[in-house]
Amino acid sequence: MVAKKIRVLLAKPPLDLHSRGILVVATALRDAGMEVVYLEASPKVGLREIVQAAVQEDVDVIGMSILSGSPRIILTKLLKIRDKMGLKDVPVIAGGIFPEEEIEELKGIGIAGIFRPGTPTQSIVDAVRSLADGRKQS
Amino acid sequence: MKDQWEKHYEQAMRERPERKQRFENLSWIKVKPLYTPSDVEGFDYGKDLGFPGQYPCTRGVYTTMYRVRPWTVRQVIGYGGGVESSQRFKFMEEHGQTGFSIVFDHPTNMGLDSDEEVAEGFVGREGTHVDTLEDMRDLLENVDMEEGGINIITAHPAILAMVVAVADERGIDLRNLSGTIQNYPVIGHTMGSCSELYAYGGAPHYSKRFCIDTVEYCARNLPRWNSVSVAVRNTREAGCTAVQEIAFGIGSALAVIKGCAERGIDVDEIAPRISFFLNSHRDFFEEIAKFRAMRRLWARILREEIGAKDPRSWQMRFHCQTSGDAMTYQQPLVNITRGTLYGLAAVLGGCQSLHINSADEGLSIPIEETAKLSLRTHQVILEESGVADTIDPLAGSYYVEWLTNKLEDEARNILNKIDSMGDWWEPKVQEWVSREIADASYRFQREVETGDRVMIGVNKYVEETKYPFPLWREDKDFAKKQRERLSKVKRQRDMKRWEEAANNLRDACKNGANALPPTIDAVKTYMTIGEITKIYGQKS
Repeated sequence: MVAKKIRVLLAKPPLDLHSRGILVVATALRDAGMEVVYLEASPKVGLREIVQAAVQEDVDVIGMSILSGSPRIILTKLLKIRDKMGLKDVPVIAGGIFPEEEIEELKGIGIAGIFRPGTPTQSIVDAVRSLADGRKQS
Repeated sequence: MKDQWEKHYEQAMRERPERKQRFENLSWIKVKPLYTPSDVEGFDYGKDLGFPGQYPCTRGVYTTMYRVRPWTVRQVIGYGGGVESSQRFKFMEEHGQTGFSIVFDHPTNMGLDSDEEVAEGFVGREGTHVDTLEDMRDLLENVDMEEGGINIITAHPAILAMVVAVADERGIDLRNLSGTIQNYPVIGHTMGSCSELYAYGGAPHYSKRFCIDTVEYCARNLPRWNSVSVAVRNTREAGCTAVQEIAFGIGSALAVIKGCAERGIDVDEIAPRISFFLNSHRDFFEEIAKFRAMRRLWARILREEIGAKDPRSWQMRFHCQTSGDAMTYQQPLVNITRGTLYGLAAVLGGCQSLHINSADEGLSIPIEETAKLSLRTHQVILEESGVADTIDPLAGSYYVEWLTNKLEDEARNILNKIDSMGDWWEPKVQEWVSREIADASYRFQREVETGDRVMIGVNKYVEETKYPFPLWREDKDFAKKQRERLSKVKRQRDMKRWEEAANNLRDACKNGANALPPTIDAVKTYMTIGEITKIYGQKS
């Protein structure tokens, strides 16, 4: 039997235009055999639309890339929407330039992984795989 | 003799191998151990280089270059709102900045007011926020609008309209208004630009229409204003190579010229007002050769293929901002060393104006102290090193001339490929360009991860270091302050004048008239950037 492929939604908050990092991560996850759904930043794709896409695409993990916006404001709001829409068991990870002093706070509200500049893509692949496997077992 | 030396080299390698398996620059062009006259066979000084200020401008666009007028020290500024950014500019000017450059936040560039829900978490964070003319008045408070030249990094016509409105208030003759609007015609995220106007549809024809409206308005009303800045520097940040930077930059600039020709605007009316915005990255000689090759290719295409007659149309003037993506988050102080090298390459390449990134580039917006260190780097290059004392000092180097030729040839191949695919504005061309950038970016990333490309502090000499400066942190109450400000302006404005201006703008947008004049009237009634953008977006 062939195992079901891990499905990942990669997205950026609505006005967050710098996409170089997320494209690299998307390619690395795809090369590692995962199915990647990528939503590019657009004012028409708000945080609600991102969570809706996660529902529709039945993903195992949501990955957010934030370079321009405020990670604290955006991720707090995203988790609230996720919980409200019944996806509490879908872990959210995030990548970008996050202020040192906010890392603990972000982990505290339930962000399952934070990846800052210089992270090898393999670490992200491993983290996604372990989160997705953990979810299947629970 | 050369054959004999090559034999010696091979023999020496057998005893001790080269320190790397491959020697390649950032465009993956192989670099040989030595360059000699045989690498530049047929080299013709007059045809290939010429004199500074003269065709084909390889050695620089001006006759006297830095002997008379140094490059403009133009560090970009932008956070919070008009008041906050204006204070930083004053600080920088006191320490030696000579030109003003302002970056706007994404909501402003996309035409969203500070009170839009979707703008939450973005207002004033990565650039300055502008809702109305009042913000622009604050922003320009400490700026000489005639001498230094104002660079506004946006494609939004309403921002230019606000600059014109402030100039009118100050009684400045618009013919003396000096500056640049980025107004770079790229579609969506394709080229890593921050200047796209998604909110009004994001459709290429909208982008093209407002881009050319701006060029046309400037050509006829603001003779000292650059109406397009070909911001291919950001494309490079998105991961393309030096060769692609040349080709995509020139390709997009030619698309603007063609777009103008469709409206009956002659190339010599607009080409002298097109400037370029380029990167300066980690391969020192490749960057210098890139600036020289691009200048020559632009001159050749404009004169020989487009038929421009005015020598100013051939002169590729450029602003340079050193690479941010080659700077690291780890061991930030090393970025000062990198900034010095990248800035030096830009100067040896003949830039007209320069921004050198600061130590904290990988972490945040620069604080005053690190921004000042960048100014000092400019000053060391200009006033201590002697590199600016003679023009184009690397001309005639076998390696530099070979590389200049090579980069020009390879960029031309890409331009030919784009030509054979179709029009620059077409989605299929944009998609191809977009894929090329992403592929190059991923290839580079793989090489960093395998260790083939060294990044100090990332994959070699890794260590935890303590950074001696504080980091810039935004004022967490700023967005709220800005919303209150906006609501006050809205309460106080004359809605009768506003209605009239809105009707005129709507008519112009529908009947295809140039959108700039009615936009200037609209901003004078304190119409917000969001309101103007909504009118732009209404489909006729």
